Amino acid sequence: MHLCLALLWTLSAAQAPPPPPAALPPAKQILDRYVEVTGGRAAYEKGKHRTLTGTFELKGMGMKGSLLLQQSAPDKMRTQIDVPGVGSIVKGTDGIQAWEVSAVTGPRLLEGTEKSEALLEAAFDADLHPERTYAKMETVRVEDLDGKPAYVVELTPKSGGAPRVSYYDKESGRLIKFTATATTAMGEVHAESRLEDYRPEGGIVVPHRVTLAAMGMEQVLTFDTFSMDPVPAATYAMPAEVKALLQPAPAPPETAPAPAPGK
Amino acid sequence: MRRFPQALAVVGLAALLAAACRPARAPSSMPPDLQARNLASFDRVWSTVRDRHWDPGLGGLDWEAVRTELRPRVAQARTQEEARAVLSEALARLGQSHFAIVPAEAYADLPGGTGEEAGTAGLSTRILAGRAIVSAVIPGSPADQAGIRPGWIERAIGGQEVAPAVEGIARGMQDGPFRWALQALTVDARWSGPSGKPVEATFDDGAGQEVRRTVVLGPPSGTPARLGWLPTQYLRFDSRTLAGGAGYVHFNVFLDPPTLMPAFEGALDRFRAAPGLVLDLRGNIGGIGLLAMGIGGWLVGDRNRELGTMTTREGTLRFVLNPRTPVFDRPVAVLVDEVSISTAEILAGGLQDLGRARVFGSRSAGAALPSAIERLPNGDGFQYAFANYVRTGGQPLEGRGVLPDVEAPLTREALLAGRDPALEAALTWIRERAVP
Repeated sequence: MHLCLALLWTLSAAQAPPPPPAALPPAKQILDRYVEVTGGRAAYEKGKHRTLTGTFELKGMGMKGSLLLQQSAPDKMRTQIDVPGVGSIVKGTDGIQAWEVSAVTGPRLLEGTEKSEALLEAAFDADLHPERTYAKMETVRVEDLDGKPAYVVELTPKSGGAPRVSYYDKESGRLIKFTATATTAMGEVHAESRLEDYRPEGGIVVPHRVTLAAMGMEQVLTFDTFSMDPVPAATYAMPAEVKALLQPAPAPPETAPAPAPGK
Repeated sequence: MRRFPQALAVVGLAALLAAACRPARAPSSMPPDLQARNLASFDRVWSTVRDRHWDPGLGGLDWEAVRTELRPRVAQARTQEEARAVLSEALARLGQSHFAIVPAEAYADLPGGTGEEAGTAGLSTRILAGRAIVSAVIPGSPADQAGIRPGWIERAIGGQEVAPAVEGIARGMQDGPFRWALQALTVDARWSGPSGKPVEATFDDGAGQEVRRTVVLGPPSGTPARLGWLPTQYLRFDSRTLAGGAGYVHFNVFLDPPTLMPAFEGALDRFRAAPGLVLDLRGNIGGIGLLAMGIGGWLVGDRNRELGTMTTREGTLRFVLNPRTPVFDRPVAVLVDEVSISTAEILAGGLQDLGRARVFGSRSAGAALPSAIERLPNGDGFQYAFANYVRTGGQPLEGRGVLPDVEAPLTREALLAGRDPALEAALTWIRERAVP
């Protein structure tokens, strides 16, 4: 989910891409067009903060909760999902560290690829400056999506990992689908997202509904409000329970530790 | 209104129950719109299994033939119960847990429902030597106030003989923990109904005398826990210090993390100086699978350790523990029995495989498949497993369960004597581990 939300804002390309196959426009051109058709560079450059609220739903399962996404330039991000019966799941980054606090599994400091992906997702201006985020961008083909042609663009993050594949509607220039492999604590998860219901918010046209399919499940994210008002810096501060993970382990107790069972 | 045994919705045993009680076929007299919704429901169930079961080959089962055979019977069903039984029979052909039909009536306790069905007697049942035995009575509960004691044989509940139901389930099912769990939960379901309802019952007491008792069902005990289309469950959490100083924790479902996790953490905080912890998962019917990781994270300090893996058609996910600080590093004894189901088995088996806990009791149900619940066009719930769960050693839990390190099965004699063999064995082990 976090990946899905973040990729709404990090969809662009890299510097000096190789020439695309004949008849295919350069990927940079497709991504620039996306910025233009969704509000233009000036509108994108105006905003330094984003706050989205909405709902999160596991389709067909009767599980629905609230959703909050906050993001500030250049590299801060926080998402929170609250689902009745499950509790709260918060993911965040201050641009240096990335973490998760889950009512189910507790606080966790993200590391390795998982951390890299979280930092990548938080890149606020990735649409305007894709070269800062992606090492390679390539238009690979035109593919029919729901009967309409779409440009398929592969984006390879600088931080490594598999390319993210974005589908831009040839006619409207809008992003309508993307696929990516997200690294989670439980392993890699391939996710496919569909973006719909584009409407203007704060000078930018944004999708208000994202349907994400992963591991055979469908999650529907619906955005109700959008704001570009400043987000307090404290929003992105590392939670105390995550900070505690960075502290040295306490001294062992006086009594002996557990022996191996089976004796 | 008949109450659906809520526990079955969790463990997915309703399909097997329905298969054991297949109704006779009859010409349809059902309203056409309901018949159409039942057929749509059958189609949804059939296609979901075809598309979502982790094994595309369904273990060799001819799923097309199942549709050809059973779909016409949905069209012929005279009542909802008959239609539902056909759907359940289709799922029973898979021979796996966590495939079940949840009657629409079970959703009466959703917000806006009456909630009047949630009364409780405060006792639980186990099947010992083929007989339904009272295995526990909550102190102060209606059953306790009625004078019912552990070890008594349940002969009749609410005017219905218990033995036929127990024997009916036994037909067509292999003898073992899974069957005993279904039988026990079915008998326990007889003790449900609206709070305030009197339930008359007949027992054989410890002296071999037939005794009659009337239990006035009390309000549900525990914290109501809702999760999607799962009918409301009640989380009961108990922690205390046992004789000798060992800590003891028991909870009945892995639900409601905002309540369960702080309660578990608080208990561990109190037990940090204890010689050990007894984690009693007997009678725990499972819930949110990821909570096994959450609970396990308090007990295992090493990073990158896992309880096992779940495999879907789309890939494999590891149940990796997230170590919590400060980790509880005392000896841990886990108690299981045949009504330790699903997530309870994932946690018990995982801790056993990691060498972090020693397991006492009797073999668990062997019903541990990650599942989801959806609503069908006819209003029923549909639970289906979408993944297989495999222990770190490579063996699936499904059909095998967790075999205790120390077998200490419950017996009627022990119950009548007020003894708990599994707990006694666990405490002995902890005592032997204690540092002088």
